Amino acid sequence: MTANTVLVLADERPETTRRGRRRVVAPLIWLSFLIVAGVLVMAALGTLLAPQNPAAQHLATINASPSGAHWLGTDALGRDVFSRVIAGARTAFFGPLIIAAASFVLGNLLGLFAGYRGGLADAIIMRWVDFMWALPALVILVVVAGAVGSSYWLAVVVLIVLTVPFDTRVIRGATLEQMPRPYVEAVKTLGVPRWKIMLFHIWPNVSPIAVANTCLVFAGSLVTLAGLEFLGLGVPPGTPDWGLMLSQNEALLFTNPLATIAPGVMIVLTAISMNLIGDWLYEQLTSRGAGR
Amino acid sequence: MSGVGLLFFVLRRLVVLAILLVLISFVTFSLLYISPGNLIDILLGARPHTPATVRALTNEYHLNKPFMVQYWLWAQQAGQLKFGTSITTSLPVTSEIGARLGLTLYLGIYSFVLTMVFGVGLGVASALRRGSFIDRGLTGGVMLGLSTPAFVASVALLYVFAIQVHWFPAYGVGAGFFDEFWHLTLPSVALAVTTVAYVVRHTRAAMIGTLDQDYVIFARARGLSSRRVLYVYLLRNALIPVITISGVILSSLIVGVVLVEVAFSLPGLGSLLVTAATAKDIPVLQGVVLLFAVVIVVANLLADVVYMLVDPRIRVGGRSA
Amino acid sequence: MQPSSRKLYSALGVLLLGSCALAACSTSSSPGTTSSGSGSSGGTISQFTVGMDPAVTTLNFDKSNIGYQLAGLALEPLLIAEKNGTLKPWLAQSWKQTSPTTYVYNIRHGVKFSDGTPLTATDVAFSLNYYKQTGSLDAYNFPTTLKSITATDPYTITVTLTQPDAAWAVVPAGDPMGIFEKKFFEAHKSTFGQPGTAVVGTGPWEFTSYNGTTSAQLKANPHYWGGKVKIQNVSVQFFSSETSEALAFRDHEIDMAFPIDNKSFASTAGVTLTTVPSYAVQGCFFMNVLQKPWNDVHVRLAVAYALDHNALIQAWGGYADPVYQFLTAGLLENIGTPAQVASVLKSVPTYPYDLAKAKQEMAQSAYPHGVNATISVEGSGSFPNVSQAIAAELAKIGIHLKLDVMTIDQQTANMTSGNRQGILTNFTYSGSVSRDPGEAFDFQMGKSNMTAGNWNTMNWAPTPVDNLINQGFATTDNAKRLKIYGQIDTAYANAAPFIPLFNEEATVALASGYTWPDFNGYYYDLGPWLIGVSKTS
Repeated sequence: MTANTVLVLADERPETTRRGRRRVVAPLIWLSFLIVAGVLVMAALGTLLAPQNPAAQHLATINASPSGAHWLGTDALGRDVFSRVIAGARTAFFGPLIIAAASFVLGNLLGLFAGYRGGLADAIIMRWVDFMWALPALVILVVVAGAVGSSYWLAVVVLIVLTVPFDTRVIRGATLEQMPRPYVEAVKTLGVPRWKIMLFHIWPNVSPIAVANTCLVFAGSLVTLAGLEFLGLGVPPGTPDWGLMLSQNEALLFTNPLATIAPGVMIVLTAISMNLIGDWLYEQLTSRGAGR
Repeated sequence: MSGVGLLFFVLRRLVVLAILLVLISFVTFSLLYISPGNLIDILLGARPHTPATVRALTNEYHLNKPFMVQYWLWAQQAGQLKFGTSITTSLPVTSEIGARLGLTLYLGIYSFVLTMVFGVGLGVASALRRGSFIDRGLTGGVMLGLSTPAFVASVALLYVFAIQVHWFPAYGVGAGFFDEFWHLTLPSVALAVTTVAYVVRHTRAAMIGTLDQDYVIFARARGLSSRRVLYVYLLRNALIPVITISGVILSSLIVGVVLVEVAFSLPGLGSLLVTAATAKDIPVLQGVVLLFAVVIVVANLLADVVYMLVDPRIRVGGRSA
Repeated sequence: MQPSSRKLYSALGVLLLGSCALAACSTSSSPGTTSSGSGSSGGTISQFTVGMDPAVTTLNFDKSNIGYQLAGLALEPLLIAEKNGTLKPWLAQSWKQTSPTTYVYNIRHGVKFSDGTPLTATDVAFSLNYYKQTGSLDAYNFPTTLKSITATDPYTITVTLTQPDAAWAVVPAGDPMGIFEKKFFEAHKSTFGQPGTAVVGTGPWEFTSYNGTTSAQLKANPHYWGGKVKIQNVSVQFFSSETSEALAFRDHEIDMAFPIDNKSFASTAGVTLTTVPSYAVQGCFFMNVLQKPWNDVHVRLAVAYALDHNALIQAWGGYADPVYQFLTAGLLENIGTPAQVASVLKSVPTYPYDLAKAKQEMAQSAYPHGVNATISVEGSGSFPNVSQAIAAELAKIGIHLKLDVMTIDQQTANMTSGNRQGILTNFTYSGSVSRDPGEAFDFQMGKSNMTAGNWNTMNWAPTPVDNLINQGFATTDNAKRLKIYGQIDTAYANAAPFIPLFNEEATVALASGYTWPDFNGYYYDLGPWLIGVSKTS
């Protein structure tokens, strides 16, 4: 899923450069930052923030509608849905964060290398990227879970492997655009070692794209991981997790629909906020940044 | 691009395709061996663990032979579309897949048509009405679509259109072509939400790019009617990028099909994949994975060929950013 | 507005209008979903639709148990067992025990299979021997004392045992023993019971179509020996999730369903379930006495006091009755009157919920300050719910459980492995294999079942109890047997190797206008069970 957003990012930008730089940050972007910050806080402090213990079962009041005691009602085991939604931020946030970070590091290194070196190394790397480009990540995760067993962290590792190609492609493209510029030639004649050129001279000009891309990778992995949880092949049952809650509470659609709707809304809100931020960052950093 | 050049291209890609399939088949075969736990126990499933059943199993799966021999035997059978029997249902894997293939294909094609029609249509409309309310609204919708995974869309649609307002059936496949069409509408829409968003965004960007091209202005200046300009020049050029992302659309549809079939309890290949993964039914997993892999690889090859045919400006190979 | 855009918008408009139009004339236009009670005259039901979840993938009992219920509409057993356990003739018009180890069954004359072929003892012997062959998944229904089943003449079946076994009597009754046509089997050896082929039997209905993922259709068997049946056509719809089955029920697309997650089903389908107390399925907490801390009887007794049966029933989803003995009153009433059973059970110790007593037992155990342990959990249905609830309750007395979630196959492999030490304590349920109190849960009792492939997961089998088990089978005197099973109950209660928690109620969702008075937890012992369904007049 991340592939598409990245591709579009690289291609579509005539409009913003025409309209020029924006000086005022749209309220929508403020809202997005707020949401992401909120999710981060929930992820970090989950159980402290939750009004009730997300695992506590109130077996007398199961499938209850929202009330004063339970703001979003209870699920099939009488657990407070609101607390579970807050606690669920953890698995929604940290896995994607690690995927985004690891993919950032590895993707940038590979992309810089491919773009700078060219030749056979580039060809091999791009072959690999092309191959991985259109793989359905979720299907691979399902098969791995089927063969080896369900595991959240294993899924994170597999997703890192599947996401690195996207970062690589984007950074390679950006690097290629930098290569013809005079400063690159200049620095080469100065005899600066290759790795220093890549990291300290080219990369700073490429970094805006890298950062913006990372936000999109985050959103994409969030959604993919939640999908895996929805299928029941990630975290163990009973763990508060948005994707898992969405599927387990589907049976409650007639009694307490909020139990399914709330986690779904959280997934979409977080993903959309990250996507908006990524787009906005790209706009900001490229219209103002060097090298464009 | 000359006919010979095209032929060479296709042949080269076919060779790559063959190599890829062999690699994928090898990985798929190895799934059985990377499973933790006793291989015999996995393959027995619910059957009792007695010397007789173990012996029968060992013969059936050639467990005594070396790994590469087992792979070769398996690959031979796979080539004849024989993937063994399902551990959970004891039915041949091929018939399990065959029974469900129709539904998944129907769903996939339905979604694909929706994606193309609405994706290109709305993308074009958005580009023509750049900056207007409709455009802004669509851009917002695209953002929403990109961030709404198929399973969230499924549950939302199920809740609104099947439970709250009783417009669509909430379950089942329906009997007969048109009944099936009706039953599969909600799932197809849920599936198409993300892909339509991709295509709209892409088409819009490409259209905007082409609208500013010199030759369009020139054509308009020559007095060609707007409609002619639109159909003849713009659409054709705007469609090329759609072909580029068709591989991604396909993989998105495949991922979505799995999620949507589970969410709507449809007995298709996607739900078969998930059931097999949950139950560790390795033979079924192998069959379905290989099928998906073949579809993806062939589809990507086709997309490349179409791309070649449609845009003669592109040269094969070379560095393109 | 530009002409091109106008065209676009008008196209969208047509699409929208079209879908509204389709919505208006949608819903139940699919065949086979005519509302219940159509075309009925004098109690005849022309079409009845049953929902089954999950899909029945094969009707071959050798390969899978999933087909008993569906095949039971076409295949009939020799005997049936009524609600109170009484055996009645069915395909066998009479039977007698000619010696302590021999039973003779006389097959009814004039019975025909749905293709017109007459039923003979050859078909009976062939079917039963097919079911009991090694490696068959139906084999567990036969006792180990069975020696042979032979057709001694065209209408007589002789069964010989290696030793007297009171549990044999009920074995020929029930859907898992449905008799199929030998000729049909031999003509379809490789596809027998599979979608497309199905099975052929003597039952009131015969298969007209069988698709393993969506449905099966049956129509009344014109040659049926029992005469005309009320239901002319049966449609069985398969569902891959109970939620979709419940939605179908709500929409009157199906007339009957057998929910597993009763509470969810009832609320989603908007129906009041028909429920009957049953002793067929018992939810229990099994402890492996070879493992620490379960090897300490005080720990086990502490667990017995610490588990709140009613709360666990809630976690299970309701529709269950708490039980405090292993062999319950309902089960024992198959060999005694309620009064006799009550007086026997009076002396069996029970452990009602009492946290204080639980803590006292823990104080006397080797772990007064608490202990950690791991339990296995089957990852589907209500098992995780109840296991988590149990973990919460045991945490209150210092036992901290880690839940190891696995698939049913993995759990089965663990529970029946040769490494008895490694079997994980777990909450699961026991389904009785017979109505006979001795046979019902025999598979989890005794030293012989403490081996690979067998189910004494508690690994508790003291010799006195093994002796009692054998004595229970050796005699057919019900009064004696009752006393023996009372003693077995006491032995289990004193050592508490497992805690019986609740008996699941038998539930069925029946559309309004229909009734099923014979419904009970062993409805599949009624032979072609759908015969019992009729319209409420």
